[in-house]
Amino acid sequence: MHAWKVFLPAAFLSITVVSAQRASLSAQDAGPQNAVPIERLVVIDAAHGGSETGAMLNPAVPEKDVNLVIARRLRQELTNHGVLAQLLREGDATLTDDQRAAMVNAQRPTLYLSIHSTSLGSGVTIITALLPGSASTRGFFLAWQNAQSSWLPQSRLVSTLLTPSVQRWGLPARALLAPLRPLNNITSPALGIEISPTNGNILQLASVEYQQRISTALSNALVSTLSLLPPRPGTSP
Amino acid sequence: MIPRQYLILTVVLLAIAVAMAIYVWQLRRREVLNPPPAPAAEHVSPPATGRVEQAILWIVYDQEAALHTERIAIPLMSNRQQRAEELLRALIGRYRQQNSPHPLSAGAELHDVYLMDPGLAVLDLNAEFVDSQTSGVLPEELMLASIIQTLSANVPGIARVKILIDGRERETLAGHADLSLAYDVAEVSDLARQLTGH
Repeated sequence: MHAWKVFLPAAFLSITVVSAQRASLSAQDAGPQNAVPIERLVVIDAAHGGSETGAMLNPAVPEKDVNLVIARRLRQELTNHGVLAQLLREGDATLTDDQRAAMVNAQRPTLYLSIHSTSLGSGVTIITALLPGSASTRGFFLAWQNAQSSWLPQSRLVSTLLTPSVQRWGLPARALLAPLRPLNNITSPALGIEISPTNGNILQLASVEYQQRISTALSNALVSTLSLLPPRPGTSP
Repeated sequence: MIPRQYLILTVVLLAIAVAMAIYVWQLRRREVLNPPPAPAAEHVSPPATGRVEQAILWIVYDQEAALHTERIAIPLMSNRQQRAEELLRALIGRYRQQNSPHPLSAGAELHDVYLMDPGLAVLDLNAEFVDSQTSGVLPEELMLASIIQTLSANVPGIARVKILIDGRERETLAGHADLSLAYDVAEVSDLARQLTGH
């Protein structure tokens, strides 16, 4: 697919979503008149939502709900550590992958996290984008499918540091490359985080205790890693 | 005046015609009430006669969330496309077995494989295959790696693999793994090594 074919619709989408997001961000971040620009921002995306349920972890527990609860807890934990964290969706909204990517790219966060949950595996899987080899970039125009390419080394660095750090908090963790959208459309360091039960019982994902344990381990691991990432454009370190 | 023997013959023939009509009507009624079972929509493998060769399947093991290799014997094929189809049918057949480490429904199957130049393989799977797939980044990635690695390691000359479902493009396998573009075999091979723990 030619880069310009995907760039134009993506750019249009970005402009429309960006203006809404900027308004929302500026309202939230307004604070005092002389507030300093935010140097580090973590955007947490609870995957799926609305009509898109994700996996049905059991007949009563859709993945979208577990993702949102874990995302909220993680935001709270990061906030407690003094890190500015925002959720991409606060409620049960349906967002396409392109909309998610456009909203995140408009905020230019220090780190983007896409939260998932599944029945298979154990503990935390930390995912970096597996970029399609066939998408080409022309001149200034970056192929939408490969937009992550410039940030991939930073994403992989964070993943490499985060994995043992999560393990130190007593959770099984593994790093993996995966073809997971919208990771490859994100123009910031970006990771997918997939949570699995450690005891093989899917109900563990819905337990408050396990969700809190995951959020605490992730936020502690993230806090030590975030300082290694460059500040957001337009802010001083 | 009609001769008596012709009259008797006519009556007998009429009786036979009526009896046959009743018999046919009864047969038709029985057919309507008890239709024969529909033939299973399943590909028939070519008879495994003649020479066979060894192939390696990459199998998903749910319990360990990892890939394991298994050796199987498949009929020797001179044609790459037939070999590719035979391999993938053997792989899916393994997943449909009762003791499968990653169970798929009995209806899951491969429609076709198209080998195109240069080095592109297009696989057409059916909807039952997708519907019985566990949803999640890791489970879907394991299944993709299983299919692509089994194909590329046993059929030479494949550089990229594109997956269709019922002949159409689909965004994801089961909500996570991206199917919109073709997979690079070298990258998936690295991934398969990660997933086997080698």
